[in-house]
Amino acid sequence: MELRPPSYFALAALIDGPLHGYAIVRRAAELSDGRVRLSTGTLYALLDRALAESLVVAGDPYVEAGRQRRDYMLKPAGRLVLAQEAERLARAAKTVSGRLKATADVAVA
Amino acid sequence: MIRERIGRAMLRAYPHEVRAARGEEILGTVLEAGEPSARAFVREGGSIVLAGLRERATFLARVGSRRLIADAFCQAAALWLMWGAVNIVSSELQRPWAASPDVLALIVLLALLVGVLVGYDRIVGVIGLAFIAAVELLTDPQAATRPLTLATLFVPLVCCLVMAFAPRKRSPDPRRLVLLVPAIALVALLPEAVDRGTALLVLVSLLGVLRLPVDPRLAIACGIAWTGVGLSDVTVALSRTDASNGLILTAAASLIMFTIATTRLHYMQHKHQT
Repeated sequence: MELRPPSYFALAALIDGPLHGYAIVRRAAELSDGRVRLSTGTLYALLDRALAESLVVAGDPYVEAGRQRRDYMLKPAGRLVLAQEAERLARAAKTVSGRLKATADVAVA
Repeated sequence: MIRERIGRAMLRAYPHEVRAARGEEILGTVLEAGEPSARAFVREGGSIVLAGLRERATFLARVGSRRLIADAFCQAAALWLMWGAVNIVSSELQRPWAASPDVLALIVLLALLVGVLVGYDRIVGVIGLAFIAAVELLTDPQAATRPLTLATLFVPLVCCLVMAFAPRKRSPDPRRLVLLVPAIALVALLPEAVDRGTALLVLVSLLGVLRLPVDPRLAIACGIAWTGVGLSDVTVALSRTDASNGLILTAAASLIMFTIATTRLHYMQHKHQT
């Protein structure tokens, strides 16, 4: 399963432990160096899909600072999908880096 | 507080089921993510409106064609009742109010209309069937065998049957009576020369077309209502040669509404499956 950057970083945000909606948005922005800015609408659409595919599990709702929240936790299937995607990206990066290095002399010449 | 109100209004883009399950949670995230500036709040609010409309389309595609078409028949019943009530009121306005069978019919139509709008589909369906049987068939036992009577009764009968056996599952809410306001405005504002019933159907059909991207049910309901009007006009057309224009208009309108609504429904379900 290939993940798009918003899904990839939203799931990656949960690697270190359960987070609520807005915390996922902030963590995804941190992990992607600010490149992925999840809007609320996109976030909940992604979470819905991840819940339907059993990649994450939702906790019970609770109230904090007057706002209703719910924590989302990564499931083993979610970790596996993330690991596969990270490996695919690393392989793709390695292939391109390798080709760039191999042709660096030719390009300079 | 104002932001919370605006957020709640924007949240209405989501289907009722989603709002009930996680509406408060989504609202909390919108307010938190939109806290830094008005621009951020507008961005977050806009994102939930778009996501909500997309969710509606997906949700309806998941529901399945049968339920959507049954819903459309229930909506068509409301439209048909509104059309009938507007027509009776329009004709009564042109002559002094007097005790006539039309006034009784108007009272029954309005009572059924209020029932279906508030959310009592099954009760309205059963009463509607009983009313049709009592007025049309019991008073004239030969009526059921006449093709013209059956053609006129076809749409109301099917609508009542669908409401009785496959009603929409929604909790009663008297606030839906606000939908009567456009019909009352049409009767009050349009000049006598204009056919108010047709004007109502045209107006609702336009709304149905506008709602197509997220919900094809109203467009299907309009197609059903136009078919009902067309079948009623058959009787008039056969007795008066000058009524054929109305018949062509209603036939064309019902065909167009059905075509665009079913095309959209098919597209939504195809997109959902891929």
